[in-house]
Amino acid sequence: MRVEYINPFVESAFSIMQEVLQTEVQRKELYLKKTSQPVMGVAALVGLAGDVEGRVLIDMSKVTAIAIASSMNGEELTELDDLVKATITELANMVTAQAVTKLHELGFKFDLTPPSIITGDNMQVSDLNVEALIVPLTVPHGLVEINVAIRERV
Amino acid sequence: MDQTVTEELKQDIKKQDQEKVKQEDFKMVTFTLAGRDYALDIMKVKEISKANKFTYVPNSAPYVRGVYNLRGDIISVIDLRIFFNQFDRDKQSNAANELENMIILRLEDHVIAVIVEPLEKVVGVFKDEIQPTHPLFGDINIKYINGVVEKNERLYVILDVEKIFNSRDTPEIKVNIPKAKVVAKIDVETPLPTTSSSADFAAKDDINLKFISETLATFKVFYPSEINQKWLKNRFKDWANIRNKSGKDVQFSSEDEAKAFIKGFYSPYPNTLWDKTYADIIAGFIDKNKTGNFTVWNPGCGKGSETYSLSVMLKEHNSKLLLKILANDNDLISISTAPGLIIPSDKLDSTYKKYTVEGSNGVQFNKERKSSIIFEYHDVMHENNLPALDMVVMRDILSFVPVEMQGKLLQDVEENLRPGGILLLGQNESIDGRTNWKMEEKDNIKIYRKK
Repeated sequence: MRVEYINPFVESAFSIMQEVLQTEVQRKELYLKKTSQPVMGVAALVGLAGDVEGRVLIDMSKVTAIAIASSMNGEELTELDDLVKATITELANMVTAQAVTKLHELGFKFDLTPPSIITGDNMQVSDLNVEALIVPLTVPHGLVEINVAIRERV
Repeated sequence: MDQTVTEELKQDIKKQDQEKVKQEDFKMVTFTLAGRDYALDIMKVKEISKANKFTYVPNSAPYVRGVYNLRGDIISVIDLRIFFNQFDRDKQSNAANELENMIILRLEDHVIAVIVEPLEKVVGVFKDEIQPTHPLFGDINIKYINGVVEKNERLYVILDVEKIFNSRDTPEIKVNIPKAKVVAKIDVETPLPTTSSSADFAAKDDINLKFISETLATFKVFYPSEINQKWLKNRFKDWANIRNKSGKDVQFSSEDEAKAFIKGFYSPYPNTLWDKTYADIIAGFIDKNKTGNFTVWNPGCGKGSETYSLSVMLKEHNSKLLLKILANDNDLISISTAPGLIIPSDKLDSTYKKYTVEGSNGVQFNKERKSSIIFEYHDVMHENNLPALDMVVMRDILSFVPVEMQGKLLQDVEENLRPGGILLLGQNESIDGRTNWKMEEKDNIKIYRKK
């Protein structure tokens, strides 16, 4: 993962989370993971294509997803319904879009795919030949991991 | 009424089929090897022909059947069955009389013929039909496979011919030996054969050395192996002497002591720019007249001093090269500062001075030097996705990764370095036992050149 890519994602994840949840966000140590890694339960996936290619995955447990959606919507939600999914999709969109804007400013050009939500138990995500950068963020609602796997197009 | 509906339906289906044909991403030539189905991209195929009685080339690798005169061009002929150890011995007997099926491949920079068993047909393939390879494909090294595709209820293994015959000028030598042999060679853990020099090693010392080796690995500071064995033995003798004199136990009592033990191991100029004399000696190993792309891999680049030194050294040595340096480190803080490395200006050598600019925070390298380097946050212990390389600078990296990773890392280097490419290891590291490398030495600095 090129050094230049790291900061935009970390910064935008941090600032968006802080803004939409109106709460304190703590960043834990970033790390790299190789191909296969577990997904906690609710994952919003945004694809990137252009000068760089890959995907961004915003990953959290079901409980966290419901709590985050509740506070973003300003109402108490109890189950993982369409509203929760739509809210998490929006969160993923905001984080990725801001990061991409920052990367555009640095001169990297690429497009985004619309986010999709994947839910389930015991899931794993694999990216052949790409290492994933994990940005763990803790908020009072739980742990949210921004999982970025992108590479230069060859 | 019913009939028209079915007619319409049929036409609809036909239309869809036609559309599907149009959308085919690429076509594959399929063939069999020892009863199995394989395919390769038709764009790599120049032509297909039949021939036999190839001109035998003495002393070539067994899978090289000889050379063939293709309308005036002499091309080498490689037998894929032998190359992949898929040889069906019963068929060998009539091979002499029968014409062989040849696929003539046009690769990046040369033409090569491969012998296969009956060619089947050309099939269209959609990109999304290609399944990734499964690690269980034992018979052919997985690196040589692009994927697997199902067509007409048969599974075709798609070969990546560019990878298989990845070479610059002389294909016969560069074709890498199938995996089975490579694996055998990377067994780094094999204990060193007892040589005469070990005679002065008392049995007790042997045990102590073994203990020390294990402690170093446990503290994760240093992984003793064949690569650093020589240095370790000498260092152990000195260490034992010093400790005995001061009446201390030879064994380490703390991690700090373990660190003190390996202090002398490091190569010169860690975290500082290379001295001109040092850089000149290393540059001396590189062809001065080479032009075109020159790709360097520099894992463990830390804060980037080494990488910038390399960039300047190569530029000074041969300015015609189109330089690309891939620098990796798994330390996020170090690598993040690397692109904008600040150099203390009082330490700046005149050679480096002309490649720097004065910024608001201090002296930095100029844009041209910076753009020759791509800094990446990457852990070499994960999968290394590398282009073809001309040089690898890996000083004091191998000894600091676990022993089983050392072999894998060396294999990655071996697979991606072009023949004649240079590997620079730490000053106390050596890979003398490996067959694919030739050691060259000048003023006590060693490099390994890939054969």
